[in-house]
Amino acid sequence: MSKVPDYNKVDDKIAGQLKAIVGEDYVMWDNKPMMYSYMARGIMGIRAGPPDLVVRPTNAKEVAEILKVCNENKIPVTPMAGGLSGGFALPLLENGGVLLECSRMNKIIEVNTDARYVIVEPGVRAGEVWAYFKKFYPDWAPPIADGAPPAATIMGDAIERGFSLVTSRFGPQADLVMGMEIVLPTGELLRTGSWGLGDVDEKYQGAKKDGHAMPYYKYGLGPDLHSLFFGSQGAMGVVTRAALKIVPHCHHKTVIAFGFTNWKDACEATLMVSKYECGIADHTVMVQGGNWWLVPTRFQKAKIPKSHDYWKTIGIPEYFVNLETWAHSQEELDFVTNKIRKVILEDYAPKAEGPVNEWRLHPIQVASRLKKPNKIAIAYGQWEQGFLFITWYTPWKDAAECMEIYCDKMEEYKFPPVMWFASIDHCRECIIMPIFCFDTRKVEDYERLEACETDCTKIFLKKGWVNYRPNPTIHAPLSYAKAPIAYKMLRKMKEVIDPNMIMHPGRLAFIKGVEDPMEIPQYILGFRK
Amino acid sequence: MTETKAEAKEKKEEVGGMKKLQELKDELYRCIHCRACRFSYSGEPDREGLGEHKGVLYEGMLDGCPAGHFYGWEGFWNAGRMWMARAVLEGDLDLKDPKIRNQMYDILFRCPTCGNCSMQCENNLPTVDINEALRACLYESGAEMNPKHDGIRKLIDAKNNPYNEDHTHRTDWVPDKSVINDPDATIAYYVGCTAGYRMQGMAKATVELLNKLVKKGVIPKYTILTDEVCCGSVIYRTGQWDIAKKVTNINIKNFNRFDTVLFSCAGCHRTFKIDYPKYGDDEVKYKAMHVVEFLADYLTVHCPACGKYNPLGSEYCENPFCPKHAKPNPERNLPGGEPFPPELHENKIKITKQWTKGPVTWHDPCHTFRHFAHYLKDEAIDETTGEGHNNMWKIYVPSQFERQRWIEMPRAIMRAIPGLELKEMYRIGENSLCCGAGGGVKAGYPDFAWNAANERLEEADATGAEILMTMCPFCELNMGQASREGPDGSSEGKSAGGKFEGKILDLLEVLNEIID
Repeated sequence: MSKVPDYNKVDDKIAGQLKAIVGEDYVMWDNKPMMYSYMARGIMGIRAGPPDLVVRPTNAKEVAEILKVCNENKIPVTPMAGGLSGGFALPLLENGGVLLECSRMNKIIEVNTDARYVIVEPGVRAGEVWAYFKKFYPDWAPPIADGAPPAATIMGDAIERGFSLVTSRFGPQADLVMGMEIVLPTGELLRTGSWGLGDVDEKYQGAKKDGHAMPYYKYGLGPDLHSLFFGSQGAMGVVTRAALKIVPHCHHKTVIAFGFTNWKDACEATLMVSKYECGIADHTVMVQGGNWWLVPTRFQKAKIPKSHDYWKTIGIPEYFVNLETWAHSQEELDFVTNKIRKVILEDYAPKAEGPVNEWRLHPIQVASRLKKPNKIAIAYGQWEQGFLFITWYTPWKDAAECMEIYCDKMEEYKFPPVMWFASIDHCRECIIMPIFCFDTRKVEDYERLEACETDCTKIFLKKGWVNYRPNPTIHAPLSYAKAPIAYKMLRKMKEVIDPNMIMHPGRLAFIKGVEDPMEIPQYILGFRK
Repeated sequence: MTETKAEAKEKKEEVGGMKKLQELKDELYRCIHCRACRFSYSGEPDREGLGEHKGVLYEGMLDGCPAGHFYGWEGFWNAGRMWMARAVLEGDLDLKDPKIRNQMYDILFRCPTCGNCSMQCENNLPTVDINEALRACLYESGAEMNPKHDGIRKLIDAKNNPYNEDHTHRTDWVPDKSVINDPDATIAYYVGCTAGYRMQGMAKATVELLNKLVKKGVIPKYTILTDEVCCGSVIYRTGQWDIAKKVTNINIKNFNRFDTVLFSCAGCHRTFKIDYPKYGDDEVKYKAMHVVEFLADYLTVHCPACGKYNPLGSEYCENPFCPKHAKPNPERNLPGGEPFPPELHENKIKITKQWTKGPVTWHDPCHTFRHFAHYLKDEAIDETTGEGHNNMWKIYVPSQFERQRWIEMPRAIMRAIPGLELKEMYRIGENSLCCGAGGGVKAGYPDFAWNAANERLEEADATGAEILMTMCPFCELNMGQASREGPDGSSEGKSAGGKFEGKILDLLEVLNEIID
């Protein structure tokens, strides 16, 4: 790992300046154990290091003052709220800099059931906003992540362009963002879409009363700026508020599931359903599935049968798809589920490559799948000692091929081929997520994982598939090498917004003074010091 | 190959903080830092609660970690501690460095080790064990101790109690001296230091209650030993294992001759039940039971098949999933099981006095079951999984019955009191909010303990109950003081308002009053 010359270390003077902004009690400095308490190597990222200082602001003004100090002193800044991206929410360079910990910014600012949005701060967790809506707005649902643990933040999921409980119907979570309040690295406060319009009469500001228009229209003032901040993982600015669409919380819900013997049938049958966009697929808010390996790997490897011969005896199909449907009445729900059954079992099954069956779920299994948010993803830490999610987007038609290649590669590299996939926007595209269950005690396991992912990335990029949460050592450099103009323009934007490149350096292959993305990996922290 | 007793003894003697931490590495590295451990009901986002009370929304998941909630920084939440433990094992945090070990001490010991985190963890981390092993590492590496923790260890070593009291007067409070050191008794009541020196009303109530049961012929006679020494709970919890092991061996030697050892203190019970078998030199032979657990068998019909506590006179078990005594349900075409055998209805105590003190809310002490629920779960996984076992759906069932039993036990007893209305707090059972007294916190960080107790009192207030009842003298002491005093012992706390205005009582004291 090479030294990065263009960043400075935090010192007593800078710590003092930050204390003057947020108060003595909200800056942690010169305390190595506390810095390590923020560490994580897993969930989304396995390369990470501790910060030098943690600061906990409570509002956008404080965030702006902190960024100004860091910008003037060329100190790296990593923003973090829920921290559920694991290693992705931590510094990547040896000079860890400042961790901007936004969990104190945890207010639900406004719920508007006419324009249908909720404005939240970064620290509002999925479980909290879910309980709040259930109590005070039971007919509306906030678009929290599905599968992410309840401690994940709703805003983090949105700006990461994550997967929500209605993604199959409404598209990636970022599509539900109606506006954002962003502090730029130079300290300016930017609001996007209609929310950007200031000096508005109070009556037209909504309940937030911040002098600006309501976030009812995401585009607004000329070319839209907000996409620059999606998927940037904190590399462009700090989002301090986000307005997200809320959706009707229908009280008639169920999940129906189907079993298959191969990826192709699982994907093709689902695509057939999803093309019934009006009336059927629009009620099917979530379509997700995977292979049988998703079940045993939630238990300790040494204590569980590892052959599908066992798991099929308790009803787990080799490949499966769950379709979650919401409706305003039981009649409507029955109509939708019966149509789905007809399409899959009568229209698709006769031309399938293998047997297709409905997987009749026990009411407890249905209730478990309907529970939002849930802890289902956490237990993959049990198989060995930790796990990593990696996420790729493919056209739906290519999903089966991608998963077949992935599973073969995972087995080649001695990982259980644990694979999950889901529909984005009526199966227009597919989100594919292998779950690498590995032993985080062993450096060789991290290396094996990266070798496997490097192989897959090279294959996938040739097929035009995109990693949507690129890591700095494999996905970002290899992808940008194939999209040099896009990288050049992104870097130019980055330089305009963040001239000293203080925001999360290393993330998205941006480091001050290092122009070639292929050179980035040499600056990134390893798995151990 | 079976381990010989000599080998087992040698192994126990070797166990220090670092060795223990190494042993826990398999479990520790399962932590992915998902932060579910911060909450109560992290897996029940839809849970309906009490609504909003004084700015707190008691619905869905709610902060359940007193330390993280009070201090805010990641190191004070459980997951942050787990990752500090990893950094110690990987050499990133070198405990030879005095600055690092002292800073770490200051973070790590501000935790009541309540174990809520272990209940939330989907990866089954034994968080309390890891935390305690890390504390032992710090103690053994020479970290600068909190003066109170240091003092407690020295007092226990010198005087067999942490309150600087004269050991020869430990049983002076016992009204009926005939129960002391009775050589013929098969049951012992281990009183403990807090009840013996600071909460004697509760100790006396327990003795009076046991005397009544002996007099009625319900239980055989029991004894109290003048030789009992501090159980060592606070020094186990604060990593001071050398002296903890010393008192462990003394107590095992003194109590091993009894069939059953009874406890009125949740902390002492936990220590005798879990720590002594692990760390004592000699094999533990007694059965450790909280007095409430012991009494529950006489106040209810305790199902031998599933552990459910049923009202006196029940013909069948109320648990519809009971494997042996489930009630037949013709409506659902469920045949049910066998009726309870007649002997299960013998030797019972029926409470006839009416409860007149107003609605009651119940505080589950962390040590009564949460501290050992983790072990129950792990044992159940071992027993029911693996290539030789083929029913994954049974994995959690035995442990769930046992855990449920501990949640149900005090509630079943309260139901046996005529006229008693129970108004539950939001966070109960394994999701209960700790009162903040344990883990050396009350002694070492009284402002934090006071704050945690007040969080709990606010929740009690939200129920509208007039009585807060529990079964741990330490919880009662901490919440009682917090309800009357400010963090510095002044009367400011009471006048600050907004807290629980009712009485705080121990279940054993109540039972003593209500059972003739």
